[in-house]
Amino acid sequence: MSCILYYRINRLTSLRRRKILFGVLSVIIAVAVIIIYYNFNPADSGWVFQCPSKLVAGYDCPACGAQRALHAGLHGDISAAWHFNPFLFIGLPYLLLVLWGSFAFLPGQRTACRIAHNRVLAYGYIASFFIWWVVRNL
Amino acid sequence: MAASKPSSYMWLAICSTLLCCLPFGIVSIVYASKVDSNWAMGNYEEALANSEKAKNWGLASAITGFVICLVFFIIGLTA
Repeated sequence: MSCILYYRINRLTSLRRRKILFGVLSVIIAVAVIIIYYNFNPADSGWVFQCPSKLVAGYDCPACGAQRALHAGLHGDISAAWHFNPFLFIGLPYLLLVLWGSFAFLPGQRTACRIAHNRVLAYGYIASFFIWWVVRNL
Repeated sequence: MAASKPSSYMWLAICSTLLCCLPFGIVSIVYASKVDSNWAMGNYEEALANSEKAKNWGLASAITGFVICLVFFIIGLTA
């Protein structure tokens, strides 16, 4: 009995630890991405990281231009960001909403979680993903 | 019945579609969007199954994307 109880408590704490680790890691990655893309301009700084789909197939994938858009957006040039990749203006807010709904300590987390998992919104995101993929390669 | 609602791994699905644009990520979103409504309707088994599927497709997408990007990164460095 005490063994089971110990197992339960251990499992709970490890789950909680994993959640905290997940939160800390995502903040670190977000900060690193912001610092990197603020300082490097992917368009001209010898940045070797190019989208494989563009290199192999010659077609733009839905996220192509996201690096340049991020750089422009971080420097406050919203219209340039829109020009490089308008899909980010759907994808990033949706990602933020999903992350908001993922952390129990945030206010309004339940509502955010419910909205993020709304079937219409999720399928709308998928539809816009494919429509944008086709439209940008026409 | 599980004690608490399983994670839908929606963040993994969205990240993988935004970063590497693989169809696996789309499959993951479809399963992830089912977890919450399954749970709310009391279909706990189904919610767990969909959570597992969302996790697996999301991981498949993330790992494939990471490997492809790594390969091209190395090719880019050596070329």
